[in-house]
Amino acid sequence: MTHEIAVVPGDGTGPEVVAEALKVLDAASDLYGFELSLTRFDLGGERYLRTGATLPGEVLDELRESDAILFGAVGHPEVEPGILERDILLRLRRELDQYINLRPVKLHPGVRSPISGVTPEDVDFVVVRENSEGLYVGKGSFTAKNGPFEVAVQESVNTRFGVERCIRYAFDLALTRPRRHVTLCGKTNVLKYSWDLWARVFDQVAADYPNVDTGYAHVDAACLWMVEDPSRFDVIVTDNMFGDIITDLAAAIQGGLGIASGANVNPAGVSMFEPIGGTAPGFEGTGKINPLAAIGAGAMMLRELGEVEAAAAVESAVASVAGELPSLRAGEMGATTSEVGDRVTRLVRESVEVSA
Amino acid sequence: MTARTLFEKIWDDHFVTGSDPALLYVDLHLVHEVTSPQAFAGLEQAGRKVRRPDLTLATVDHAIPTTSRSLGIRDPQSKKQVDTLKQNTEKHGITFFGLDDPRQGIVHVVGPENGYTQPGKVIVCGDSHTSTHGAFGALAFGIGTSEVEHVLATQTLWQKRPRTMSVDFDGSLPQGVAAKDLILGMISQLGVGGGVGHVIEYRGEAIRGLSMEERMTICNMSIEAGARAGMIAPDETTFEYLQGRPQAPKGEAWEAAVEYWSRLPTDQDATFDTAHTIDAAGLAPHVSWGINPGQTAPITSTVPDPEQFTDPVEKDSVARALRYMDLRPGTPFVDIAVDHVFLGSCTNGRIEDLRMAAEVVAGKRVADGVNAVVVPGSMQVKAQAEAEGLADIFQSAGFSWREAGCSSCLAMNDDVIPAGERCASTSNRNFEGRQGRGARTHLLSPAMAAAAAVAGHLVDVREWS
Repeated sequence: MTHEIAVVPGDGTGPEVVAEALKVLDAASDLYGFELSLTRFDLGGERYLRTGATLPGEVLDELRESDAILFGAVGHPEVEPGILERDILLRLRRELDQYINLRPVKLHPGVRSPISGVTPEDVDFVVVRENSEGLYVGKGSFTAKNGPFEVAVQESVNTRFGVERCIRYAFDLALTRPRRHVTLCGKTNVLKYSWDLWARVFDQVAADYPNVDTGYAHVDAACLWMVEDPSRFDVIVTDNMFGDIITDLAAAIQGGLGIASGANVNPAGVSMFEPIGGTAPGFEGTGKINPLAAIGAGAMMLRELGEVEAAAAVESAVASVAGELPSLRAGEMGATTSEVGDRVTRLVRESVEVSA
Repeated sequence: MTARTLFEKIWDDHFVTGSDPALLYVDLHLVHEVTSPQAFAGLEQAGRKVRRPDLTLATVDHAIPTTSRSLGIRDPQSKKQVDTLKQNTEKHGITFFGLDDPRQGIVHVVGPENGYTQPGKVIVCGDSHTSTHGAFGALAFGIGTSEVEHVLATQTLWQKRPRTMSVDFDGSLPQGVAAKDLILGMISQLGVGGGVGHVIEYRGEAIRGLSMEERMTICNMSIEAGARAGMIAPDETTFEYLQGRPQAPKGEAWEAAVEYWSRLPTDQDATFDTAHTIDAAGLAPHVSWGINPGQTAPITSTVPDPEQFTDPVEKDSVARALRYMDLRPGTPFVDIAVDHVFLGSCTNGRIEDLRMAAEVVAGKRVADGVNAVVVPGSMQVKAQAEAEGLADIFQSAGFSWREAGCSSCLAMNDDVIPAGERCASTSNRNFEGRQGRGARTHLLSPAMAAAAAVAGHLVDVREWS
């Protein structure tokens, strides 16, 4: 089986961590009997500065034809912040209708959480963030701009279609997880329109999944619980903005951005897998950046491609290496970027030797 | 008139308007402390009243303590939920079986035993195991909090029409095999997604021979197969159970009701969208070994080996289940030692369940090191068990004898199974963490659970002496 993978290393430390992910994926494909056919795209700051183009139409067409996209990060010191993120990352999400942002959150054994007393058993949940609507649709207005009575309105757009497909994805995901629990995270007590719709659709979808447990948390309470008792959560489904916020909190409790992988998913189309940490410009070219998040994103990609056994082997190798490192922070790992990639690769190889 | 199923007759009789979804009239709305506070708050904010307080019944069960009630509720969140429900029911004139009411109990136990649950009704509750009430030939299903508010306000509910499924249990139930084994056997055969999108009607010789309480056990776990609801046609057994209960019709109304109820069973020529047959006579007592109710097998077999499974996803899921459950492939089920035994829940917390368990326990002792607990499904079940001497049997055997509630089934109160410990449980769900973080659950029948308490490990109750 050959999978067509589009690789977008991007800017900053993106290329370094993507290289390590590819190293591991290459080993996994050898061992588990499938092919990854890689096509690289130089989207990012350099290309923009050189050509003025962010995401040319022909590149987009090629990405559409791929089976999955492995993404590093975009953002360049010489490009005004926001341009690349908006014109590449956000545009790709929209063009490819990646309506789910998926963030698995796991505290691996041996990794120190900044929250004392929290154990790996406590932290194993997934945030399903609606990725196409809400406050992020860019609708709004100024009235009397720059005047003393200026009013800025930012609108949150929530469609039944968009909300339902997101919630349905969360329930389907819960069916594959051992606790079979979905928490709706919102703000029904104050945001009476958008969250009224979310709550009604949530109940209607839940009716189709009677063997999945459900719960509700206001987003403020969810933040509190994520710190005080993260074991409450299995699958959390939420809107675009709350998801943006709580996934960073979640990354912190699992040990930081060095281990935080995510995916922008179109279940029926092309999905994109990325470390969520960004370009980390201070560490570019130093060999100090942690590649585990990118490698973890690679494992998520394998799972989405149906290479379940290979995905499990990579996940388990990432978990082991994460637990062995003195810290997951860039520059404090006690190993170089490439050495960390090598250690994961070795464990993936050993996983086959052990089970053979 | 075209031939119709039991489900179709009830649906048609409750149809108000719309097509898909359709608006259905609700005859009975059961309310408990956990899924109702936001619904009542929403009602208040919108300035609405409860449309039919007379068709609404409230009790407390999910998060309340099952230890002595003389000191009240210690847990502040639980106390607040219970107090809030009390205030809401007082304000809206809803019958409330509170903590000090002799009728208090698990919502799916108190509805039937007080005669609220009747054939032909549409019954809803903010709890997935509402399917229990389908045992009476009612259409009963769980709803979410926003729907609880909708029903409180309008006494109606928007529903997408489910498909119909028949499951025929052929032959009669062998000695030592319980209703719990029928339903666990069915879920292990159909899978946890086997009923998705359907309302199941249970039929066949084995079902007709069951008591009402056994039928409730079956319908209760319909949703564990993914079904929207489960139901069983009303018959003489149903009428006999109902007659004389406080809320059952009396006199001429009773005669009229029986006449209507007798017309509800599925017509001879009616067809189902999906049909399955299960060989009831060939079933053995079952026990779950994994982390969903479909991961269940006869007690006579052994822990499965992930390598037997060819599908990589299934292999992965079995391996993960065994890791969580700390079980080794090939281990005979009867060699699995238990630390806890939980007798209770809306699945198996009724008087017949306690009788079956007591029969096994009588004159014996709970094994050393086993923490065995009986939590009656309602205070009436508790009182009856005490009057029949069952409580004495349990207590002298070393069981802890508790007040009514949901308890360890979902561990929302203090009855939490500690991490890493193993519980033989008569409840309905064995998801990871259901009975407490890291707790390991084996679902089984009351008699099997009682035998496990005495032996200290899982046993085949058919070989019990």
